[in-house]
Parts: sequence; structure tokens; C-alpha cells
Amino acid sequence: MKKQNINLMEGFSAIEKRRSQKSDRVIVFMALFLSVFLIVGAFSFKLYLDNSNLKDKIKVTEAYVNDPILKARIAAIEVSQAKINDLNQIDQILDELNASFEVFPRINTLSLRVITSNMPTGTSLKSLAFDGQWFTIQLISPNYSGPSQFAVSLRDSEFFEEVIYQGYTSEVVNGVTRYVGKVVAILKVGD
Amino acid sequence: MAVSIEVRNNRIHVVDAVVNNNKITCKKAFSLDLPDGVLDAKGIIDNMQFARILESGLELHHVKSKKVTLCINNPSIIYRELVVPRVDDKKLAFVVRSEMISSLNLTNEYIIDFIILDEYIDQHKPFYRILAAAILDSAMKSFVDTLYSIKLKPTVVETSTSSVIKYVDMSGVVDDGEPVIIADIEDGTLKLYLFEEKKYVLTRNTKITDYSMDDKKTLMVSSKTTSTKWFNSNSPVRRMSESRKSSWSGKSISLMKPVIASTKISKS
Repeated sequence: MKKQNINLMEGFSAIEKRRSQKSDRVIVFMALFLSVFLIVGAFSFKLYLDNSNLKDKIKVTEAYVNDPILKARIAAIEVSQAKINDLNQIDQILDELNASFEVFPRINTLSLRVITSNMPTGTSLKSLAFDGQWFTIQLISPNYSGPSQFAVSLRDSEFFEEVIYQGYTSEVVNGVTRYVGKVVAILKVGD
Repeated sequence: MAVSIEVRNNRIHVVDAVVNNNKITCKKAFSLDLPDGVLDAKGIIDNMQFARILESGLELHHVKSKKVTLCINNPSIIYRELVVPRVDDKKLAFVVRSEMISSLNLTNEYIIDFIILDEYIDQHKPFYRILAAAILDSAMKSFVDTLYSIKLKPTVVETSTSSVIKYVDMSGVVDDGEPVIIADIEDGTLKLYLFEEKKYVLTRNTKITDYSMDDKKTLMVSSKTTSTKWFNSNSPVRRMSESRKSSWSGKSISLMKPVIASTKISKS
């Protein structure tokens, strides 16, 4: 389009716009630079303060750690701790022993009651021995079947782990024949 | 409507007019004298004084408009007629700028604008005849900043020549096709604008060292082939009233002011 009018204001406005943009760019750059500077400065200052605080804390901690009273206390505590450890070991061993004792076969009134209650009528107990595991029972019966009946009865009670009948012998006392039977039985573990 | 302000060497002319259907009605017109040292070729030197004088003048004459068409008619603006090869419109501005810088030895600090006066072919090559104007960026800034300081907003800044050309385009001053000289005289300077067939031909500036009002009338001579349109810049109000009485047709002497270019002066 053919240019009809002179207007120097258009050119001036364009220059002013460029000037303004340039000025804006400078301001933005300055603001950015200032912001970065302030952020870095603030961060550096914070790091400096943190560093100072940590140094102070290290000094206090070092003084505390190097305190001779504290060192003596720590040594005493270490000794006590070693003792406690020994005691704990002993305690542990005792616990294990106790546990072993719990499962170890033991003679008690129930065992004796089971033995006596299973004796046939007319029989009497001659001797009873216990070696820690085995009962050795000797009984006197007026007839020869008494001891074996006792052994069968004892096995049927299932109180013992194993019942072994070892036979009988006869003897005459005051003109009366009596039969002495021998039975061994072993207790169940844990009972 | 923008108020028109023409800044001369030692005077400011202000015209507040309304344009309606290509008809301009002048509401107010007045001049303000500037003391020495306010202006020079580098623009406004004393911004404060210039602003004060203009602001008080606008207040005194109750001019409310804030938009300004500024016509710089003093040595701070340079204009030259150029002939350049016809090039693409986008490249024309660059060509004109380069031509102005090289022919007037200007720096890059000049703001340059132009109008195409004519287009012709010489030896089978098309050429543009161009009127270009240049002003130093700092001078322009001094004018614009001073106007902004009194809350005026310049929308157009132009030269007196381009104002006269616009005026002639719009008015019926040179309708008859004969060569016409428009003379502008003020403070010892005579400016002649020659038009032929409604086209701008040339401008001539002449210094007049000593003259009186009677002498001025001796300048109102029209030749057989050229009519002279005359105005006295010192009294714009009187000039406007007289122009109303004058006929725009024929070769009569009429009083007018380029900066308030109008096609027809309202008779109401």
C-alpha cells in the first residue's frame, strides 16, 4: 500500500518499545541475579550457622566423652555388663536343666498307688526299689499265678513304658508255701 | 478529536478543531510565544518552561482534548526529497533510510519516515519521488516526554510540509489544476510550497530580514500562472475569521494555516 502520511511517532514508539524491552530485560536479569545471590547467600549463611552449631555440639560431646568420671562409670558398667552376661548364661543353663528335670522320670505317690492298686488279692509287696529309671518290684503271693497276674495288670494299666515279668520262686515259711514274684517296670518319660 | 499543535522556533500554534464528513470546524485557535533558549535544533532544551507555557495556554483557552497531532516546524526536523528506484513496499523504508543517512550524513540515532509523492518511469525504470523527514531520537524524545509530562498524548508527529500536503489533498485550494504557491511567513522566514495539479512539487525557505505589515502585502502577489495562498502565522484567530470571508475558489488571496488543514472552513 502506498504510504500516504508521515508519522514519526510510529518510529519513535517502536524505538521506545525496544528501549523498554531492553530495560525490562536488564531489570529481569538484575532481579534474577539478585534473587540467585540472595538465595545462595541465605543458603550459605544457613550452612555457616549449621556448621557452627555442629562444631559447638562436637565440642560439648567430646568434653562429655572424655570426662574421666564418665569413663570410670563406663568401665564399671562394662564390668557389670559382663557379670550380667555371665548370670544370664547361668540362668539360661538353669532353665535348660529345669526343663530336663521336668521330662526326667520321677517317682511319686501316683506311681506307688498304681503299683499297689494293681496287686491281686492276697498278694503283698515284699520289696520295691527304684534306680532312677526302673522299678524293681518283689511281691509275695499265696499262689504261683499271683506275680504274673500282677505283671499283666501292671502292663494293662499303661502307666509304665515297659513292664517285664521275671518269674517267681517258691519258698516255705512256717510250713506254708508262698511264691515270690519279680517284676521290673520303667516309667514313661515326661510323666 | 486531537488538538493540533505546531511548534515553531519561538512560537507554538494550537488549533482545536472537529472533523465531520470531511469538513473541519475550528473551535479554538491561538498562539503562544516561546522565550529564547527553550528550543533549539536538538529539540526542547527547557522542558519545564515549555510544558508550563503550553499547559497554561491550553487551560486559558479551555482545551480539554488530550490527544495531540504534533507538527514540528523548526530546525530540529530535517526533510528532503529523494528519488529512489521502485522497490517492494517492505524494502522501501530501508532504502529511504539508507538514502537519507548517506545523503545527509545522518547517524543511526535519527528517526526517519516518508511519504511517496509521485511515481514515474525514467528510461523504462520505475522510480518513486519521496519526501522523507528525519529527527534526532533525543529531540523527538524531548517533544514527546514534554507532552506526556502535561498529560498530552501525541498520536501523530509530522513536518510542516507533510501537513501542508495533507491539507492540500483534503481541501479545494488547488482544485483548478493550476500551479499554486502556498506561502507561510513568520518572523523573517518565508516558506513557499509549490503545488501543481494538486501534487506537491517543492518547498523553498527564504529569510526575510526586515519587513513590516505593509511589506507583507507586497508578497501577496500572484503571477499570471501561479496563485499564492497567503497567511500570517502571527494571528491565527484573525486569520481564521478572515478566511471565512474569503472565497476558496479562484485566485484570491486567502489566509490559512497549514497545521489546521481543512477541506472547508465551517461558515457556521
